Amino acid sequence: MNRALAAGASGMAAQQNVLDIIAANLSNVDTPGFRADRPEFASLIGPDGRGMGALSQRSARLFSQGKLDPTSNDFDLAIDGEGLFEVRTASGAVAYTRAGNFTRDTAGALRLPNNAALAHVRLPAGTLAVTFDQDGRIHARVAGKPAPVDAGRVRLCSFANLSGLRLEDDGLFYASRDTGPVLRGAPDSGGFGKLRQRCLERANVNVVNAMMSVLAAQRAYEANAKSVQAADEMLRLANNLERG
Amino acid sequence: MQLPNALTSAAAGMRAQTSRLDAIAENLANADTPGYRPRRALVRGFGEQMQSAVVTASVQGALRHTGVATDLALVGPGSFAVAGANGVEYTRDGRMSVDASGALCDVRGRHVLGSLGAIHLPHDATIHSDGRIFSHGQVIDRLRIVDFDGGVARRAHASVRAGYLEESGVDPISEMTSLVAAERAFEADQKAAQQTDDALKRAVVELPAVRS
Repeated sequence: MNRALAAGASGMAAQQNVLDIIAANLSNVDTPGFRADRPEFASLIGPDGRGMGALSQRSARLFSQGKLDPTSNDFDLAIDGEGLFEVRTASGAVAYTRAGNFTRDTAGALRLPNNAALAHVRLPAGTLAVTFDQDGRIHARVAGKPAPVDAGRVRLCSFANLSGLRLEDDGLFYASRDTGPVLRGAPDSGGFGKLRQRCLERANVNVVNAMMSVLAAQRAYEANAKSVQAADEMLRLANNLERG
Repeated sequence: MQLPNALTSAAAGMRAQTSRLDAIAENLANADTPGYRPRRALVRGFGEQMQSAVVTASVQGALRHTGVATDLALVGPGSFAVAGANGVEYTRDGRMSVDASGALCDVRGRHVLGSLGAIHLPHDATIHSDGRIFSHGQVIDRLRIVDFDGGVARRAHASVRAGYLEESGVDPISEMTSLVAAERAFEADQKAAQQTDDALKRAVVELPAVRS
Protein backbone atom coordinates (compact mmCIF):
# COMPACT_ATOMS: atom_id res chain seq x y z
CA MET A 1 0.00 0.00 0.00
CA ASN A 2 2.85 2.34 0.81
CA ARG A 3 4.20 1.38 -2.59
CA ALA A 4 0.98 2.55 -4.21
CA LEU A 5 1.21 5.81 -2.26
CA ALA A 6 4.84 6.32 -3.27
CA ALA A 7 4.20 5.38 -6.91
CA GLY A 8 1.24 7.77 -7.10
CA ALA A 9 3.25 10.58 -5.52
CA SER A 10 6.19 10.03 -7.87
CA GLY A 11 3.81 10.05 -10.84
CA MET A 12 2.32 13.36 -9.68
CA ALA A 13 5.79 14.87 -9.23
CA ALA A 14 6.80 13.66 -12.71
CA GLN A 15 3.72 15.23 -14.33
CA GLN A 16 4.32 18.47 -12.41
CA ASN A 17 7.82 18.53 -13.91
CA VAL A 18 6.34 17.98 -17.39
CA LEU A 19 4.13 21.06 -16.93
CA ASP A 20 7.19 23.10 -15.87
CA ILE A 21 9.05 22.07 -19.03
CA ILE A 22 6.09 22.76 -21.34
CA ALA A 23 5.56 26.15 -19.70
CA ALA A 24 9.21 27.04 -20.32
CA ASN A 25 8.88 25.93 -23.96
CA LEU A 26 5.68 27.91 -24.49
CA SER A 27 7.13 31.07 -22.95
CA ASN A 28 9.95 30.93 -25.51
CA VAL A 29 7.75 30.35 -28.52
CA ASP A 30 8.84 33.70 -30.01
CA THR A 31 12.53 33.50 -29.07
CA PRO A 32 14.52 33.15 -32.33
CA GLY A 33 16.54 29.91 -32.42
CA PHE A 34 15.14 28.60 -29.10
CA ARG A 35 15.43 24.80 -28.79
CA ALA A 36 12.58 23.05 -26.98
CA ASP A 37 13.07 20.62 -24.12
CA ARG A 38 11.37 17.26 -24.17
CA PRO A 39 10.39 15.77 -20.79
CA GLU A 40 11.92 12.36 -20.22
CA PHE A 41 10.25 9.72 -18.09
CA ALA A 42 11.89 6.72 -16.58
CA SER A 43 10.47 4.05 -14.32
CA LEU A 44 11.92 4.07 -10.82
CA ILE A 45 13.22 0.74 -9.60
CA GLY A 46 13.61 0.19 -5.87
CA PRO A 47 16.58 -1.58 -4.23
CA ASP A 48 14.58 -4.85 -4.22
CA GLY A 49 14.18 -4.70 -8.00
CA ARG A 50 10.48 -3.86 -7.82
CA GLY A 51 8.91 -0.80 -9.37
CA MET A 52 8.62 2.39 -7.32
CA GLY A 53 6.76 4.65 -9.75
CA ALA A 54 8.09 7.06 -12.32
CA LEU A 55 10.76 9.72 -12.43
CA SER A 56 11.01 12.82 -14.56
CA GLN A 57 13.80 15.14 -13.61
CA ARG A 58 15.77 15.11 -16.81
CA SER A 59 14.78 16.58 -20.10
CA ALA A 60 16.39 16.25 -23.51
CA ARG A 61 16.86 19.26 -25.73
CA LEU A 62 15.49 18.78 -29.23
CA PHE A 63 17.55 20.17 -32.10
CA SER A 64 14.87 19.75 -34.73
CA GLN A 65 14.32 22.48 -37.33
CA GLY A 66 12.24 25.50 -36.38
CA LYS A 67 10.01 27.37 -38.81
CA LEU A 68 11.80 29.89 -41.08
CA ASP A 69 10.14 33.30 -41.23
CA PRO A 70 11.12 35.80 -43.95
CA THR A 71 12.10 39.27 -42.68
CA SER A 72 13.29 42.48 -44.33
CA ASN A 73 16.52 42.80 -42.35
CA ASP A 74 19.70 42.04 -44.37
CA PHE A 75 21.45 40.74 -41.26
CA ASP A 76 18.78 38.25 -40.22
CA LEU A 77 20.38 34.86 -40.90
CA ALA A 78 18.88 31.39 -40.45
CA ILE A 79 20.23 27.86 -40.82
CA ASP A 80 18.04 25.58 -42.91
CA GLY A 81 19.28 22.18 -41.70
CA GLU A 82 21.97 21.12 -39.25
CA GLY A 83 24.56 23.38 -37.66
CA LEU A 84 25.08 26.18 -35.17
CA PHE A 85 26.52 29.68 -35.47
CA GLU A 86 29.77 30.16 -33.56
CA VAL A 87 29.78 33.45 -31.63
CA ARG A 88 32.21 35.19 -29.29
CA THR A 89 30.68 36.78 -26.20
CA ALA A 90 31.66 40.19 -24.80
CA SER A 91 33.91 38.38 -22.29
CA GLY A 92 35.68 36.57 -25.14
CA ALA A 93 34.18 33.10 -24.55
CA VAL A 94 33.21 30.91 -27.51
CA ALA A 95 29.51 30.02 -27.62
CA TYR A 96 27.03 28.53 -30.10
CA THR A 97 23.52 29.50 -31.12
CA ARG A 98 20.76 28.95 -33.68
CA ALA A 99 19.54 32.53 -33.26
CA GLY A 100 20.37 34.69 -36.28
CA ASN A 101 18.92 38.10 -35.43
CA PHE A 102 22.23 39.93 -36.00
CA THR A 103 22.82 43.66 -36.34
CA ARG A 104 25.96 45.36 -37.68
CA ASP A 105 28.04 47.41 -35.25
CA THR A 106 30.28 50.34 -36.17
CA ALA A 107 33.38 48.12 -36.45
CA GLY A 108 31.65 45.85 -39.01
CA ALA A 109 31.02 42.90 -36.67
CA LEU A 110 27.63 41.14 -36.64
CA ARG A 111 26.20 41.12 -33.12
CA LEU A 112 23.25 39.41 -31.46
CA PRO A 113 21.03 41.44 -29.08
CA ASN A 114 23.07 39.98 -26.17
CA ASN A 115 26.22 41.52 -27.73
CA ALA A 116 27.85 38.25 -28.81
CA ALA A 117 29.53 38.62 -32.22
CA LEU A 118 29.51 36.14 -35.09
CA ALA A 119 33.00 34.58 -35.14
CA HIS A 120 35.41 35.14 -38.06
CA VAL A 121 33.14 37.67 -39.81
CA ARG A 122 34.01 41.37 -40.20
CA LEU A 123 32.47 43.49 -42.91
CA PRO A 124 34.84 45.88 -44.71
CA ALA A 125 34.65 49.58 -43.83
CA GLY A 126 32.17 51.53 -45.95
CA THR A 127 29.93 48.53 -46.65
CA LEU A 128 26.58 49.63 -48.12
CA ALA A 129 24.84 46.32 -48.71
CA VAL A 130 25.63 42.67 -48.07
CA THR A 131 24.59 39.41 -49.71
CA PHE A 132 24.99 36.07 -47.97
CA ASP A 133 25.03 33.03 -50.29
CA GLN A 134 23.45 29.79 -49.10
CA ASP A 135 26.96 28.28 -48.88
CA GLY A 136 27.96 31.06 -46.45
CA ARG A 137 30.01 33.29 -48.80
CA ILE A 138 29.62 37.01 -48.07
CA HIS A 139 29.60 39.62 -50.84
CA ALA A 140 29.76 43.27 -49.73
CA ARG A 141 29.00 46.32 -51.86
CA VAL A 142 31.48 48.91 -50.69
CA ALA A 143 31.24 52.65 -51.34
CA GLY A 144 33.50 53.68 -54.21
CA LYS A 145 33.95 50.17 -55.67
CA PRO A 146 31.87 49.12 -58.68
CA ALA A 147 31.94 45.30 -58.10
CA PRO A 148 30.91 43.46 -54.87
CA VAL A 149 33.86 42.60 -52.62
CA ASP A 150 34.46 39.10 -51.22
CA ALA A 151 34.05 39.58 -47.45
CA GLY A 152 34.77 36.12 -46.09
CA ARG A 153 32.45 33.27 -45.25
CA VAL A 154 30.08 32.27 -42.47
CA ARG A 155 31.07 28.92 -40.96
CA LEU A 156 28.89 26.52 -39.02
CA CYS A 157 29.66 24.15 -36.15
CA SER A 158 28.26 20.91 -34.84
CA PHE A 159 29.00 18.27 -32.20
CA ALA A 160 28.71 14.49 -31.92
CA ASN A 161 26.37 14.95 -28.97
CA LEU A 162 24.30 18.13 -29.33
CA SER A 163 22.26 17.37 -26.20
CA GLY A 164 25.49 17.75 -24.20
CA LEU A 165 25.52 21.51 -24.95
CA ARG A 166 25.07 23.65 -21.84
CA LEU A 167 22.50 26.46 -22.07
CA GLU A 168 23.50 29.55 -20.08
CA ASP A 169 21.51 32.57 -18.87
CA ASP A 170 22.50 34.56 -21.98
CA GLY A 171 20.56 32.10 -24.16
CA LEU A 172 23.74 30.76 -25.78
CA PHE A 173 25.01 27.19 -25.87
CA TYR A 174 28.45 26.30 -24.53
CA ALA A 175 30.49 23.19 -25.30
CA SER A 176 31.04 20.79 -22.41
CA ARG A 177 32.81 17.52 -21.65
CA ASP A 178 29.78 15.64 -23.01
CA THR A 179 29.55 17.26 -26.43
CA GLY A 180 32.75 15.87 -27.95
CA PRO A 181 35.07 17.96 -30.12
CA VAL A 182 33.62 20.76 -32.25
CA LEU A 183 33.09 19.93 -35.95
CA ARG A 184 33.42 22.93 -38.27
CA GLY A 185 32.29 23.28 -41.86
CA ALA A 186 30.78 25.54 -44.47
CA PRO A 187 27.00 25.78 -44.93
CA ASP A 188 25.47 23.53 -47.62
CA SER A 189 28.30 20.96 -47.40
CA GLY A 190 29.30 18.00 -45.24
CA GLY A 191 25.85 17.57 -43.69
CA PHE A 192 25.50 21.25 -42.70
CA GLY A 193 22.34 23.13 -43.59
CA LYS A 194 21.96 26.04 -46.02
CA LEU A 195 22.39 29.64 -44.88
CA ARG A 196 19.31 31.80 -45.50
CA GLN A 197 19.55 35.57 -45.55
CA ARG A 198 16.59 37.79 -44.54
CA CYS A 199 15.13 34.84 -42.65
CA LEU A 200 14.76 34.08 -38.93
CA GLU A 201 14.38 30.64 -37.46
CA ARG A 202 11.60 30.56 -34.87
CA ALA A 203 11.64 28.33 -31.79
CA ASN A 204 11.08 24.65 -32.60
CA VAL A 205 8.07 24.63 -30.26
CA ASN A 206 4.83 23.30 -31.71
CA VAL A 207 2.15 25.23 -29.82
CA VAL A 208 -0.70 22.83 -30.62
CA ASN A 209 1.32 19.80 -29.49
CA ALA A 210 2.43 21.67 -26.36
CA MET A 211 -1.19 22.51 -25.46
CA MET A 212 -2.19 18.89 -25.98
CA SER A 213 0.66 17.80 -23.71
CA VAL A 214 -0.60 20.22 -21.04
CA LEU A 215 -4.04 18.56 -21.14
CA ALA A 216 -2.53 15.07 -21.08
CA ALA A 217 -0.22 15.97 -18.17
CA GLN A 218 -3.17 17.36 -16.23
CA ARG A 219 -5.20 14.16 -16.71
CA ALA A 220 -2.22 11.95 -15.89
CA TYR A 221 -1.71 13.99 -12.71
CA GLU A 222 -5.36 13.32 -11.81
CA ALA A 223 -5.00 9.59 -12.47
CA ASN A 224 -2.01 9.43 -10.13
CA ALA A 225 -3.91 11.42 -7.52
CA LYS A 226 -6.66 8.78 -7.77
CA SER A 227 -4.25 5.97 -6.93
CA VAL A 228 -3.08 7.97 -3.90
CA GLN A 229 -6.75 8.40 -2.90
CA ALA A 230 -7.48 4.69 -3.38
CA ALA A 231 -4.47 3.70 -1.24
CA ASP A 232 -5.62 6.17 1.40
CA GLU A 233 -9.19 4.80 1.32
CA MET A 234 -7.94 1.22 1.68
CA LEU A 235 -5.74 2.21 4.61
CA ARG A 236 -8.77 3.87 6.23
CA LEU A 237 -10.83 0.68 5.77
CA ALA A 238 -8.03 -1.37 7.30
CA ASN A 239 -7.92 1.00 10.27
CA ASN A 240 -11.69 0.59 10.72
CA LEU A 241 -11.49 -3.21 10.92
CA GLU A 242 -11.63 -3.02 14.69
CA ARG A 243 -14.73 -1.13 15.72
CA GLY A 244 -14.67 -1.48 19.48
CA MET B 1 -13.83 -24.10 14.43
CA GLN B 2 -14.58 -22.75 10.95
CA LEU B 3 -14.80 -19.03 11.67
CA PRO B 4 -11.11 -18.09 11.83
CA ASN B 5 -10.78 -19.56 8.33
CA ALA B 6 -13.15 -16.85 7.09
CA LEU B 7 -10.96 -14.28 8.82
CA THR B 8 -7.76 -15.51 7.17
CA SER B 9 -9.53 -15.63 3.80
CA ALA B 10 -10.63 -12.03 4.19
CA ALA B 11 -7.12 -11.00 5.21
CA ALA B 12 -5.63 -12.82 2.20
CA GLY B 13 -8.15 -11.06 -0.04
CA MET B 14 -7.17 -7.68 1.38
CA ARG B 15 -3.48 -8.46 0.83
CA ALA B 16 -4.18 -9.52 -2.77
CA GLN B 17 -6.12 -6.31 -3.50
CA THR B 18 -3.27 -4.31 -1.95
CA SER B 19 -0.69 -5.78 -4.32
CA ARG B 20 -3.17 -5.22 -7.17
CA LEU B 21 -3.38 -1.54 -6.23
CA ASP B 22 0.44 -1.36 -6.00
CA ALA B 23 0.67 -2.60 -9.60
CA ILE B 24 -2.04 -0.18 -10.80
CA ALA B 25 -0.38 2.83 -9.11
CA GLU B 26 2.94 1.77 -10.64
CA ASN B 27 1.33 1.57 -14.09
CA LEU B 28 -0.47 4.91 -13.80
CA ALA B 29 2.79 6.57 -12.74
CA ASN B 30 4.45 5.15 -15.86
CA ALA B 31 1.68 5.92 -18.35
CA ASP B 32 4.14 8.22 -20.18
CA THR B 33 7.34 6.18 -19.87
CA PRO B 34 8.37 5.01 -23.38
CA GLY B 35 8.67 1.24 -23.78
CA TYR B 36 7.13 0.60 -20.34
CA ARG B 37 5.34 -2.73 -19.99
CA PRO B 38 2.40 -2.70 -17.56
CA ARG B 39 2.52 -4.89 -14.44
CA ARG B 40 -0.43 -7.17 -13.82
CA ALA B 41 -1.28 -8.55 -10.41
CA LEU B 42 -2.73 -11.98 -11.06
CA VAL B 43 -5.24 -12.83 -8.37
CA ARG B 44 -6.42 -16.40 -8.20
CA GLY B 45 -8.13 -18.70 -5.74
CA PHE B 46 -5.80 -21.19 -4.12
CA GLY B 47 -7.99 -23.61 -2.23
CA GLU B 48 -10.21 -21.18 -0.35
CA GLN B 49 -7.74 -18.33 -0.21
CA MET B 50 -6.62 -15.67 -2.63
CA GLN B 51 -3.05 -15.52 -3.84
CA SER B 52 -1.46 -12.93 -6.02
CA ALA B 53 1.59 -12.73 -8.23
CA VAL B 54 2.83 -9.74 -10.25
CA VAL B 55 3.83 -10.36 -13.87
CA THR B 56 4.86 -8.05 -16.68
CA ALA B 57 2.38 -7.98 -19.55
CA SER B 58 3.81 -8.06 -23.06
CA VAL B 59 1.70 -5.57 -24.94
CA GLN B 60 2.88 -3.49 -27.86
CA GLY B 61 2.78 0.22 -27.07
CA ALA B 62 1.57 2.68 -29.71
CA LEU B 63 4.25 4.24 -31.93
CA ARG B 64 4.69 8.01 -31.74
CA HIS B 65 6.55 9.92 -34.45
CA THR B 66 9.25 12.17 -32.94
CA GLY B 67 11.47 12.90 -35.95
CA VAL B 68 14.55 12.44 -33.74
CA ALA B 69 16.89 10.15 -35.69
CA THR B 70 18.18 8.34 -32.59
CA ASP B 71 14.70 7.54 -31.24
CA LEU B 72 14.16 3.84 -31.93
CA ALA B 73 10.90 1.95 -31.51
CA LEU B 74 10.61 -1.84 -31.46
CA VAL B 75 7.65 -3.48 -33.17
CA GLY B 76 7.10 -7.02 -31.97
CA PRO B 77 8.63 -8.96 -29.09
CA GLY B 78 12.24 -8.23 -28.16
CA SER B 79 14.49 -5.79 -26.32
CA PHE B 80 17.62 -3.79 -27.02
CA ALA B 81 20.76 -5.17 -25.37
CA VAL B 82 22.70 -2.50 -23.43
CA ALA B 83 25.90 -2.67 -21.37
CA GLY B 84 24.91 -2.36 -17.71
CA ALA B 85 27.24 -2.08 -14.73
CA ASN B 86 26.90 -5.82 -14.05
CA GLY B 87 26.74 -7.26 -17.57
CA VAL B 88 24.22 -7.10 -20.37
CA GLU B 89 20.84 -5.54 -19.57
CA TYR B 90 17.72 -5.29 -21.73
CA THR B 91 15.36 -2.42 -22.43
CA ARG B 92 12.56 -1.47 -24.81
CA ASP B 93 13.02 2.21 -24.08
CA GLY B 94 14.33 3.51 -27.42
CA ARG B 95 15.31 7.07 -26.45
CA MET B 96 18.91 6.72 -27.60
CA SER B 97 21.47 9.47 -28.04
CA VAL B 98 25.06 9.73 -29.18
CA ASP B 99 27.63 10.61 -26.52
CA ALA B 100 30.82 12.70 -26.88
CA SER B 101 32.81 9.72 -28.20
CA GLY B 102 30.16 8.92 -30.83
CA ALA B 103 28.83 5.83 -29.02
CA LEU B 104 25.07 5.15 -29.03
CA CYS B 105 23.66 5.34 -25.46
CA ASP B 106 20.26 4.73 -23.96
CA VAL B 107 18.42 7.22 -21.74
CA ARG B 108 20.31 5.97 -18.65
CA GLY B 109 23.68 6.44 -20.39
CA ARG B 110 24.33 2.71 -20.94
CA HIS B 111 26.03 1.81 -24.24
CA VAL B 112 23.75 0.15 -26.77
CA LEU B 113 25.22 -3.14 -27.97
CA GLY B 114 25.63 -4.28 -31.55
CA SER B 115 27.23 -7.36 -33.03
CA LEU B 116 30.72 -6.20 -31.98
CA GLY B 117 30.06 -4.53 -28.63
CA ALA B 118 29.14 -0.86 -28.21
CA ILE B 119 27.75 0.77 -31.36
CA HIS B 120 29.50 3.84 -32.74
CA LEU B 121 27.16 5.91 -34.84
CA PRO B 122 28.65 8.22 -37.49
CA HIS B 123 26.77 11.44 -38.32
CA ASP B 124 25.36 10.13 -41.59
CA ALA B 125 24.29 6.70 -40.29
CA THR B 126 20.82 5.33 -40.97
CA ILE B 127 19.19 2.46 -39.10
CA HIS B 128 17.15 -0.04 -41.09
CA SER B 129 14.06 -1.85 -39.87
CA ASP B 130 16.01 -5.12 -39.47
CA GLY B 131 18.44 -3.37 -37.08
CA ARG B 132 21.31 -3.04 -39.55
CA ILE B 133 23.15 0.28 -39.42
CA PHE B 134 24.31 1.76 -42.73
CA SER B 135 26.91 4.44 -43.34
CA HIS B 136 27.91 5.47 -46.88
CA GLY B 137 25.90 2.52 -48.24
CA GLN B 138 27.89 0.01 -46.15
CA VAL B 139 26.63 -2.08 -43.24
CA ILE B 140 28.72 -1.05 -40.25
CA ASP B 141 26.91 -2.79 -37.40
CA ARG B 142 23.66 -4.37 -36.34
CA LEU B 143 21.58 -3.65 -33.24
CA ARG B 144 21.47 -6.61 -30.88
CA ILE B 145 17.75 -7.21 -30.32
CA VAL B 146 17.07 -10.11 -28.01
CA ASP B 147 14.05 -12.12 -27.00
CA PHE B 148 13.87 -14.71 -24.23
CA ASP B 149 12.63 -18.19 -24.87
CA GLY B 150 12.39 -20.06 -21.57
CA GLY B 151 15.18 -17.98 -20.08
CA VAL B 152 17.48 -18.42 -23.09
CA ALA B 153 18.37 -15.28 -25.05
CA ARG B 154 17.92 -15.52 -28.81
CA ARG B 155 17.79 -13.08 -31.71
CA ALA B 156 14.36 -11.48 -31.84
CA HIS B 157 12.42 -10.76 -35.00
CA ALA B 158 11.21 -7.35 -33.80
CA SER B 159 11.59 -4.62 -36.39
CA VAL B 160 13.12 -1.24 -35.62
CA ARG B 161 11.53 2.11 -36.52
CA ALA B 162 13.95 5.02 -36.35
CA GLY B 163 12.40 8.43 -35.61
CA TYR B 164 9.64 6.82 -33.55
CA LEU B 165 9.15 5.96 -29.89
CA GLU B 166 7.11 3.13 -28.48
CA GLU B 167 4.78 4.69 -25.96
CA SER B 168 3.99 3.12 -22.63
CA GLY B 169 1.81 0.00 -22.90
CA VAL B 170 -0.39 1.28 -20.07
CA ASP B 171 -4.08 1.78 -20.90
CA PRO B 172 -5.24 4.43 -18.40
CA ILE B 173 -8.93 3.52 -18.80
CA SER B 174 -8.53 -0.13 -17.88
CA GLU B 175 -6.17 0.87 -15.04
CA MET B 176 -8.77 3.25 -13.61
CA THR B 177 -11.51 0.59 -13.78
CA SER B 178 -9.21 -1.93 -12.08
CA LEU B 179 -8.42 0.72 -9.47
CA VAL B 180 -12.11 1.12 -8.59
CA ALA B 181 -12.61 -2.66 -8.64
CA ALA B 182 -9.62 -3.23 -6.33
CA GLU B 183 -10.88 -0.60 -3.91
CA ARG B 184 -14.38 -2.14 -3.79
CA ALA B 185 -13.08 -5.69 -3.48
CA PHE B 186 -10.90 -4.54 -0.60
CA GLU B 187 -13.98 -2.98 1.01
CA ALA B 188 -15.95 -6.21 0.57
CA ASP B 189 -13.13 -8.19 2.20
CA GLN B 190 -13.05 -5.69 5.03
CA LYS B 191 -16.81 -6.15 5.52
CA ALA B 192 -16.39 -9.92 5.51
CA ALA B 193 -13.70 -9.62 8.18
CA GLN B 194 -15.96 -7.40 10.28
CA GLN B 195 -18.92 -9.76 9.94
CA THR B 196 -16.75 -12.69 10.97
CA ASP B 197 -15.50 -10.68 13.90
CA ASP B 198 -19.08 -9.88 14.93
CA ALA B 199 -20.08 -13.52 14.75
CA LEU B 200 -17.03 -14.49 16.77
CA LYS B 201 -17.82 -11.84 19.33
CA ARG B 202 -21.34 -13.17 19.70
CA ALA B 203 -20.07 -16.70 20.11
CA VAL B 204 -17.47 -15.73 22.68
CA VAL B 205 -19.24 -12.99 24.65
CA GLU B 206 -23.02 -13.28 24.20
CA LEU B 207 -23.51 -17.06 24.09
CA PRO B 208 -21.99 -17.71 27.56
CA ALA B 209 -24.09 -14.80 28.91
CA VAL B 210 -27.33 -16.51 27.77
CA ARG B 211 -26.34 -19.77 29.44
CA SER B 212 -25.62 -18.38 32.89
